[in-house]
Amino acid sequence: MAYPVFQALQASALAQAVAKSNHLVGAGLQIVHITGLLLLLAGVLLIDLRALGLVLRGQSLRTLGAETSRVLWLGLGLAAASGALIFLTSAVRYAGNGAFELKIALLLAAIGVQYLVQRRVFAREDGNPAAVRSAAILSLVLWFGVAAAGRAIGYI
Amino acid sequence: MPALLDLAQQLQDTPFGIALAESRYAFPIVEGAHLIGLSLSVGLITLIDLRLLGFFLRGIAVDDVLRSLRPWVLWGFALTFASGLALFTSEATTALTSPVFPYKMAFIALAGLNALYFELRLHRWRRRAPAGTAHEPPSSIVAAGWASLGLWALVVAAGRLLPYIPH
Repeated sequence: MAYPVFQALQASALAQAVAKSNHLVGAGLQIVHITGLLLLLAGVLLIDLRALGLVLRGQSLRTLGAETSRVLWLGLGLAAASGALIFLTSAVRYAGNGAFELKIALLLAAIGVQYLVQRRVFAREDGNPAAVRSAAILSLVLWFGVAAAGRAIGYI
Repeated sequence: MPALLDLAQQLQDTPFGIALAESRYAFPIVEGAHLIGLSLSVGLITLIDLRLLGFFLRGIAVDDVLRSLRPWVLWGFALTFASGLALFTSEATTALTSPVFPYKMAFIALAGLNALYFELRLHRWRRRAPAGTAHEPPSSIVAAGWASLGLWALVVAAGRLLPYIPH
């Protein structure tokens, strides 16, 4: 299959610069990627475990969620920036990988759901407990699904 | 270290080691469990450290954060160690000959000692200032927070480097 867009991306100057650099640059990008991912997942865990009433029950979900979401989005920023560079170097190979496609679909869903849940569900002091719990479980499933699909990319 | 390599070879040749190495699905699934364990253990410890250092959740007392998250961190470590041991079993000789692996183990040992130091200091702090009377920890505990951030980052970095450094 031909992927003109992905071929062009892979041929871009930035992609070539990363691909031709020392292989430790690639390893460094992987380290930033896993560090960002762990920050992101830690933030997700803290907010969702609080929403499920499993940690810090005495604290307001709205306040905790607002503060923790900064860590979460910082982690996502690190993971997404390093991930984009890793992707560019072999865009054609990634584009045909089922696990990669699933990862990107789950990632977009997770970002959308997290944004909405933070603003519409967790930010309300009088949130419906069932809605709060379902939102937390959905967020956990989506984000850990992103991580699992990412881990599977190398095995497809 | 031929004796250690022999031991690694024996570990790798156990039915469990062979099954894990040969299964198409088991290895990535155990890797996934390692990642979930890491997000609970190292991930939540990072958030606790950021609270200790005053960068995060300053409105919540250090004790409350610690008491509430500690069981999750410990279960996370149980999962991380169990899955890590399983992964090691399936490729023990490769891991042992990697130049990065001893660094990863050393950083884990240092992070563990630092955690022990932290707990002892915390205990002493609490004996002198019962929970609720002093909100910000003394400088020795804050220093342990910085060390924890740095050491766990090194553990994660060394772990991710394992497949990238040739031996």
